[in-house]
Amino acid sequence: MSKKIIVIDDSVAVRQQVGMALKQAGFDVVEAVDGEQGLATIRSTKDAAMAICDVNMPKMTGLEVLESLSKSGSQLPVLMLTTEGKPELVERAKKNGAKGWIVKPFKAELLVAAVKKLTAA
Amino acid sequence: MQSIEPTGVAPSVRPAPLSVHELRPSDESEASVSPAPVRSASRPVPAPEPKKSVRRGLSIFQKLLILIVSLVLGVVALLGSYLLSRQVAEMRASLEAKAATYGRLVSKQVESAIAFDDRETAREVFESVAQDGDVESLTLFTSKGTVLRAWGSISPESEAQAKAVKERTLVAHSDRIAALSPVVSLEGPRGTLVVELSTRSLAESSHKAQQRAAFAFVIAALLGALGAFVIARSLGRRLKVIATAADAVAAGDLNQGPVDDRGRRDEIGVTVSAFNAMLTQIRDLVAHIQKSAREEKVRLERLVAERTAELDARNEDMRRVLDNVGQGFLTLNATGEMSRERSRVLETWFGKAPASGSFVEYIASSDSEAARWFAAGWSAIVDDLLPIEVTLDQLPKRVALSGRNFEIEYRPILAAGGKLDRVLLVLSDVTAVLERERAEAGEREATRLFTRLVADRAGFLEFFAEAESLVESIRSAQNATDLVRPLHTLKGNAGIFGIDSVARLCHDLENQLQEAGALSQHDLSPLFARWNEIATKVRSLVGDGGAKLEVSDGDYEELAKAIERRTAHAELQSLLHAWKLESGEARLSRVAEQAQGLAERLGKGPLQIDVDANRLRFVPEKWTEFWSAAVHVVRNAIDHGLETAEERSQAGKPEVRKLGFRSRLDSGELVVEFSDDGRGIDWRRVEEKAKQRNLPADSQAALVDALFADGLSTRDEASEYSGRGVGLSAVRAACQKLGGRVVVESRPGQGSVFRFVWPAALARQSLVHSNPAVAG
Repeated sequence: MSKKIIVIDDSVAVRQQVGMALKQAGFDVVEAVDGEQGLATIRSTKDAAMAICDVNMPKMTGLEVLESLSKSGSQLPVLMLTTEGKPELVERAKKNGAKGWIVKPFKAELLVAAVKKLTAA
Repeated sequence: MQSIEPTGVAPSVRPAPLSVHELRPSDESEASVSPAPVRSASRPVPAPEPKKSVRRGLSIFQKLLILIVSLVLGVVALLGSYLLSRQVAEMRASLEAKAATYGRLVSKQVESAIAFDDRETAREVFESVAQDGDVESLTLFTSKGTVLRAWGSISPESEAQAKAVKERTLVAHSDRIAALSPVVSLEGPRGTLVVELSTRSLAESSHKAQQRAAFAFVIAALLGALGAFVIARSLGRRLKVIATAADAVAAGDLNQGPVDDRGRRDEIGVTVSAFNAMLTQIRDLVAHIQKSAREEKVRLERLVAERTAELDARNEDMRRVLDNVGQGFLTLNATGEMSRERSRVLETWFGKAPASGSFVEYIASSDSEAARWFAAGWSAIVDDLLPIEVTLDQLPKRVALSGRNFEIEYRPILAAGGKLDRVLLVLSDVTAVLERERAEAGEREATRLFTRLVADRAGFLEFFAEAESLVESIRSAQNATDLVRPLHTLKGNAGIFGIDSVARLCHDLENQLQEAGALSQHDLSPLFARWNEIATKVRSLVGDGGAKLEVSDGDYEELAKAIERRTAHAELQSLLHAWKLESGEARLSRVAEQAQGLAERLGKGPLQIDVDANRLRFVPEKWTEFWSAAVHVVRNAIDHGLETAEERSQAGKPEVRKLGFRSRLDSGELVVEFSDDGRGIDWRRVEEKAKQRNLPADSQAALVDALFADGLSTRDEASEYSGRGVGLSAVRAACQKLGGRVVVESRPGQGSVFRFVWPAALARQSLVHSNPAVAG
């Protein structure tokens, strides 16, 4: 059975790009359009293998999603998508349990490689 | 054992040291090199930790002593008892022989006494025999059994036996031996002679013999023990000497003198000789091994020195290469420490490396942001949660150090097993390249600026004045909110005027602001720097003649004709006054020109733009803000409204996209409108977005309001040109400031019209209609 990846990004273009790359690599993709929806999707999708989460999103930022997951003791691996800017964002994400980050714009094959490694059980 | 030669080198016992012969470089003479302090510094024989052999039980000496003493005692006891018993037997035999002899002789002599009952003869014979101390009794019986003559007292046993004796009989009793002999006289009468000899003397002799034997036994035992002691001690000492020496050798002490056994040739002597020979050979062997080891060490050291020299030469070559290429090479280990071998140019670029060797520390002094970014990225490499190619790709690829720009390329160096060993960093100074690119881009921008200035001086100056004030607003912004609008407007304006560098800087800053929530002066400084360059250039082009009057040919001809017609003075004055106002055609054409540029950049050009200002003229200072904000409407129309070529083709729409920019007086109201033939506004999306932001969305008017709300954008992702939901709100604000209202008409798939309407009063105050036909 394909592994299920939750992609949380308010940009439809990014969701499309990530979704297409992951689907081509044989993953199942569940999309969420903002942090709030993302958090709800993570909570309701029990068989998710990992989540890919944008930092800057309406309603709830990626960091807030992470913090909320961290507080609830979630073990779901989360990979952050960010624009190259502030190291403190990355440091904060790491502190809250993010497994890593990828700077936008990114190469699809690198994202797939990262997802494969993080979901390799 | 016979083959063992006690002295010298015994080939037969030489412990054929094959390996030694192989090691031996030349001849035997080398092996005789004095076995220097064998036990000293380097112990050649890798002897196990010296273990003193612990002697348990009896020593050889004790064993020998016990053995010999036991043997001596045994032999003496056996001999003593044998000889003793033999002596006793002989004495008894002699006593018995004596008794028999006495019986035979005396029986002969007493024949006459029996014949004649001659007691005297018997007495005489008996007395002479009784001289012998051993004789106990002599008794002569007649044939009737009576005693003819007796000497001493006969034992009852002999007396009983005497009556029935037919022939000579020897009988042993407890304490005597009796010889019973029949006596037959020539005359006829017969008798019996009993001679009894006492065994007392025999017992005494036996006792004495026993005593002597015991004495002899004791003496023999003492002598034997002494002898045994002497022999055992001698053997024991010799064995002890050799055992001690062997023990010391086993403990690693080869520096022993030969064991001295005084040249004796018994087995111990032979063993000692063999031991001495072996010791000598071992010493020789060890000396040889030491010598070989020393030679080998010298050889290896020489080899190492040669190889080191070779390596040094190669390193030197490598260093020359490293030192003379324009790029900086260095490797980092897993903890981010720099290798010592690195290009010298790095020191020229960044100064002396820190003692810790940390690359982060090294670059932190020049570019702390890059250093932090690098540190965060490096920690992801160390975490090893993501593939190395992914983590390396997240490291900063460009850093600014000491006022120069560097590109960094990262290459993983993997150890066996695919584990990351080091990372090779190749730093290239791209300052010149960037400067050249920037200069070229600057030149292109300058050319565009110049072209624009020449083509539309007033419009350009207006843009410039507004941009200056926007930059000033950014500079003096107190918080993030204050930054949003000026940054966005400046971006839009710069984009439309072809100043891509400023538009790009603004876009990056907007991204950064959105993600981090704030911008520092450091973040903003590149924008200010670039704007200063542009402003300086523009001022040099414009000089102080900002207030020049532009008159078109049409305007000039119109005035000339009016004078020719002798038009009223007031009319002429009005015409002249209009020259000071901005032509609607010029303004809208300017916007159209900007729109073409933007469409080209977005891959949506060329556009067919219908410009019709109906010869309206506008009071410049009053309208500046509106025109500036109206740019957002145009930008939105192009970026959002106009479809891609494929979408248009699928929808059966003409390939060329159309825009319309118009101004007119309509029932006394002033109307400025911007139309496009794009996809129309997605009202459902606006509604969705409005609801997300808790804005009213229950009527069309509410949706139009929402569309113009600050921060609402139907786009998911902001582009460099639009999508942040800032622009439209600015347009509405500018329109309302002049007392106007906004009307939006949009039909799905057919396009949208943004119409700005002001009351007639404004038109009278702020417009001068130069066309006499419509004037009024």
